[in-house]
Amino acid sequence: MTSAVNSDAQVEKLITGILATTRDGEADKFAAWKKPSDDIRRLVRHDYVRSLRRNLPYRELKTLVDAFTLAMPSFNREPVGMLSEERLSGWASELGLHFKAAPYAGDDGLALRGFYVTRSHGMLKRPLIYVNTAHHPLAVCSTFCHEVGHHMSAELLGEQNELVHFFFDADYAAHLEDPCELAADVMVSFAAYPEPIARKIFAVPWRWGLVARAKDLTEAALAEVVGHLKRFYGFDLMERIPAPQKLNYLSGMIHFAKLRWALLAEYDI
Amino acid sequence: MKKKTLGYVLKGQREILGLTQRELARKLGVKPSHVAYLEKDRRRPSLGLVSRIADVLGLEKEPLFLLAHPEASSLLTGRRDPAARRDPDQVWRDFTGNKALLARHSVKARELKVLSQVNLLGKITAPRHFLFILNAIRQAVEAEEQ
Repeated sequence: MTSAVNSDAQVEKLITGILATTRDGEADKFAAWKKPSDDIRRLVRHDYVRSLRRNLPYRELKTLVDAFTLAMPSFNREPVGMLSEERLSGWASELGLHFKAAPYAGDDGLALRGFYVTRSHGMLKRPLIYVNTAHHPLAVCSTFCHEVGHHMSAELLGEQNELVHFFFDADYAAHLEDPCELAADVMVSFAAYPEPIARKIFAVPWRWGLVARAKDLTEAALAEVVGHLKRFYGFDLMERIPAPQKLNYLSGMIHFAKLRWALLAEYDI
Repeated sequence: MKKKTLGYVLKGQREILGLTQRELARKLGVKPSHVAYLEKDRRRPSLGLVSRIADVLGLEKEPLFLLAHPEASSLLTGRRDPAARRDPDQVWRDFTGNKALLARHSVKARELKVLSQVNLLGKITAPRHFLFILNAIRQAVEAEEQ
C-alpha cells in the first residue's frame, strides 16, 4: 500500500544529507546552495499535470513517442539503460546527427549538460548534439535523450526557431514553462521510467481527486525511484559526487520522476 | 567521477579546443614536456603561466589559480558564488571585447553573427562557452566538408 504521506520530509532529508557530506572547506558555499535547495523544494510542490496540460498536448506527445519508438523499438517498454558513448554515437548517426561527447569541466562548464544545434540558419546540413561527459554517465544518457527529444520536436513539430537549445543543470523549473524543453524532458522520463516500471513505481490506488494530487510524490514512490536508478543505472546520490552536483542531480531525479508520474496520471501513457 | 585538478581541467579544455600538447606548449611558450607534467599534476604553474593558460584556453583565471594553488583559497575573500549567474549581456561584451581572444581563436565575422544569435537566448554565463560552442560547430562543419 502506497504511503499517503508526500515526499517533502524525505526530500528535506536528502538535501540535508547532501549538505552534510560537504567538506569543511566548502562550508562558505552553503549560502550559495540555498538557491538550488529552494529550487528543489519548488519542484516538489509544482503541479506537473498543469504544466503538461498547458504545454504539451496529447497529439504532439503521441507523435514524439511514436517517432522515438521507431528509432528505438523498446522505448517506453524497457529502461534505455546505461549507454556507452559508442552506442550514443551510433544512435545519433542512425538519426542523421552530428554527435560530440567531451568533458567540459569547471563550475561554469559543469553547469552545461549539453546542447542541440538545429539545421536552421544554413550553417549545418545535419543537426548537432553535444553532451558534456564531465557528468555522471546517467546524466550523460539523460542529456542525450533530452537532445534527441529536441531533434524529434524540430523535425516533426517544426520547432526550429532557435539556433541552439541549451540544457543547463538545475534549469528544470524553466523547462516546465517552455513547450520545447518540456517535450525534450518528457522523452527522458519515458527513457528512464518505461510504462511497465512507471505503473509499478507510481501506482496509487484509484480514488476521486487522484489527478489533482499528482503534484505530490509519495515517500514510497521516491524510495522506489532511488532504488530504480541504482538498479538500472548504478546511480547513487550518496556516492562521491561534489555536493553542488548532487543537488542538481537530485533536482533532475525529482523532476523526471514527477514528470513521468504526471504523464501516467494525465495521459495514461 | 575523476577529481577535478588543474591537470584534469587543462587536459579536458585542450582536447575540447582540439590542441595537441605540442601546440599548446608553443602557444604558452613552454616545452611540451612541461604541459605533460602539468596535465599529470606533477608540476604547479607559476602565476604568470596560470594567466597565460587561462588566456589561451579561454578559462577563468581565479578558479584556475585556485586549482593550481588550493592553499591560497583561505586568503581570498568574497569568493564567487557558484550558483550565481553572470549577466549574459556582460558576458557577451566581455567576449566580443576581447580582441586578442577572438584573434587567437580566429573567430570570423560570420561566426560572431551566429554566436550573437546564441547570445540572444540569454543563457551563456561565461565567455568560454561561446568558444566551446563555436568549436563544436566548427568540427561538425569540417566533418560535413570531408
